[in-house]
Amino acid sequence: MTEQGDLAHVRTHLAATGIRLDDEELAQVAAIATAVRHELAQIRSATVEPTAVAADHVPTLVPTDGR
Amino acid sequence: MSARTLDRIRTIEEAARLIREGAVTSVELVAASLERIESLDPLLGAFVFVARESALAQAESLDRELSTGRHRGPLHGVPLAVKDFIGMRDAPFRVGCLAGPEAPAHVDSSAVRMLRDAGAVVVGKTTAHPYVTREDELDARTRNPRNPWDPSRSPGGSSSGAGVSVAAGMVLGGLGTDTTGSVRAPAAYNGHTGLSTTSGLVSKSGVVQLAPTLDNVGPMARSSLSCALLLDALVPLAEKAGSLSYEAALTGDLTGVRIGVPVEFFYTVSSLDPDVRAATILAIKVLEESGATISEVALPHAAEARSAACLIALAEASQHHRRRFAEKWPEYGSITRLLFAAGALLSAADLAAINRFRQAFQEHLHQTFAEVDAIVTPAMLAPATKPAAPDLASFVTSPDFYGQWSLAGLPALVVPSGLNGEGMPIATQIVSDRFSEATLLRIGDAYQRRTDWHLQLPGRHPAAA
Repeated sequence: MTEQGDLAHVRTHLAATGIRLDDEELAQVAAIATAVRHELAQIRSATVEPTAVAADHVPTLVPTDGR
Repeated sequence: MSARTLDRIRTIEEAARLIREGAVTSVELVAASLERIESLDPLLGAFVFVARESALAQAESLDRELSTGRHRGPLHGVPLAVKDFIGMRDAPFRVGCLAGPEAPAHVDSSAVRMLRDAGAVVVGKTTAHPYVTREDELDARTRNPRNPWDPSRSPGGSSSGAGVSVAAGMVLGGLGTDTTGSVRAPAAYNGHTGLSTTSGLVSKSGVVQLAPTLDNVGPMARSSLSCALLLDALVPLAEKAGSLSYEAALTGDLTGVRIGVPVEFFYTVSSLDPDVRAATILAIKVLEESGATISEVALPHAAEARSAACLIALAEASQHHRRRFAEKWPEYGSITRLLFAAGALLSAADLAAINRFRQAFQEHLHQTFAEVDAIVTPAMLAPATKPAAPDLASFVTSPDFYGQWSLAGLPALVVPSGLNGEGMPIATQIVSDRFSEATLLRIGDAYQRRTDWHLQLPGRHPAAA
């Protein structure tokens, strides 16, 4: 995920995929990107990676109180 | 025989019985369907294409077949509709926005071909919210369908038109596509039954894709039995996981069926409407009275699972449509453009992390389904509301009860389970393990044998009453 608030980076990255945005759209995409970054952090923190890398060692969910 | 016929004949099974007994012909049913579409669609906006002449010709042909003793099965002569994403020979392909493929499909999609082979009359293609946007895209360039219970409220999406057409009695059933709730949200908001199928169960050949690892084709109709009859036509016998037919699995008895209730999140999230929660708890009691055993199950990180499905949908949709962006970018809907752009920002490392979580979540559900046969949750946070200016960040962050099962590739059935004080539909969701559609439909049918929420017709608008 590109850096939050880095509008120039967002514009350059998207232009490379054929997406060209005006400034207002760029600001809206940057706001969505901020939300995406937050959700990504939550998702990463919900997963326990195995300490071994063998195929039979799989990720698990982080236990939660009462869930 | 008139459009009012479809007020009395509300399900595919009822139409099938009457056709088989000679009490009604396919031409009469299809003509009633077309009359109702002509009457209601200017207000409700459910159809992008109506195949009037070919539908009537097909109905005449099916009536002649029946007169010579050939009966194709329960869909023989029954009028249906399919979402615009699903290819139908000689019908335009707009997929809810101006960036859709312009040329009509040269051949039927596999799903439409299988329905036709089973005797169904596909009367048209229905409106869809543009691509990934399940809520109303406020784009004046496209036709937005309206909820028949209150046209000022959202019909849900993106299989909106299919849901509206079933709820308003324009057709007796149809097909939608579901990526993270696009069959289930319209079913819940419009008050009918809808099934999101196990990923890979129903052919997607000839169907416009959004997010290939999440998309599925699913039946939409008033009852679970109607959905079972549709699914029987869509799934080859060899794929039915031990059942000769889905219809045959519907016994009305739930003895021995174990139902799990994931209380945390699904019943405790702060934005859950109390009426929806109460109706779902009542539905669980009905299932218990039908013989099922009820227990609580733990399902951690349901909110993250919903977000993960959403992010995968954005990334896959962005990649899947990448080649069209350069030439068609302005023609994608305004909201769709921004969401696809956000999806294009996700990196390979981001997606790897999401897919590791997906693997862990799937494994947890696999273990859960060793202990229970199905999970029951509310099918909505709240009944349909009036469309508001969209907060795009909330598209990513808002909780819902659909994406979790899409992420895991599981089938989920939505059944109507009440009306709120404003007369808007409330719905409950039943989820089961992969390829366990027979279990889902059995549970939904048992519930509907003891309730009649699925048979309610919109009454607030005079044209739809």
